[in-house]
Amino acid sequence: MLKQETYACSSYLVLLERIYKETDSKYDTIKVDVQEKLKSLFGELLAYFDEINNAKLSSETTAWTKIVTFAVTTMADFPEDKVKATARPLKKIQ
Amino acid sequence: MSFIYMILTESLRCRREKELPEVPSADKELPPHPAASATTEDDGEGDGDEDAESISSMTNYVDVSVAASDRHDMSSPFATSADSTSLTNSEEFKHMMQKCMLQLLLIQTLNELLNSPPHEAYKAMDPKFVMVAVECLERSYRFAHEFNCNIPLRKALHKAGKRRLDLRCVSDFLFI
Repeated sequence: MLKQETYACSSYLVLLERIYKETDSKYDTIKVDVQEKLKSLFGELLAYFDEINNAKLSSETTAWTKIVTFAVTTMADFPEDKVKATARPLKKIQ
Repeated sequence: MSFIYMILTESLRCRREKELPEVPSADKELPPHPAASATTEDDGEGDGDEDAESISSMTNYVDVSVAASDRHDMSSPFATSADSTSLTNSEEFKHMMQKCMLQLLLIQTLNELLNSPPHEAYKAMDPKFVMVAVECLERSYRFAHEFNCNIPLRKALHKAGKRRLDLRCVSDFLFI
């Protein structure tokens, strides 16, 4: 199930990222929705990664590291105000 | 997406076909394999109807033998236990495992399609279907996440799996 969780999350993230960066006008109507989904997913991912990292679950941390790295890289392309909004859950954890 | 839909419908159809006919008991002797009788009876000049009949009887033979072997596995003393509830439980467990495997395969296929370098598969997809895939992946991720967060359930499943494995080891050791 860890495999299903990480694979599904990774594909979900890749798909959302593709839609977000899509230049085709066909996707214009759903871009706002996709952006909201990406924002909430980033927050969730960072919070969960912090949780498993603190609990020292090595296999889970290894499985999630790539996905979180990809999420952070994608987040770097976000406008600054959106990144700040996404980073709020991390502040709460600290 | 149509490929995934095709796999899903095909697997459902196969399961329904397997569940519908009444399966003879495992104690009954299986009919001789039609291929063996065909070599002696048929002179190689059979018409289309006969061919169709032999194919359908062959598929029946395969279904029956598979069902009988399944039943044999479950009725063996090295299955979880002898009572009927445990039999249905182990059957359900098997089906659940198959579903999990199928779902994982579908996700992997979608992942591979999305990560193929020229992104042709993604470009060929209609935005509607892309959103359907997004929703499916989200639901799958949420379900798996919820399951993985349920530690007591995972422990119970791990214990059950270990017990099954131990029983199999014992049967291997006894050469049964």
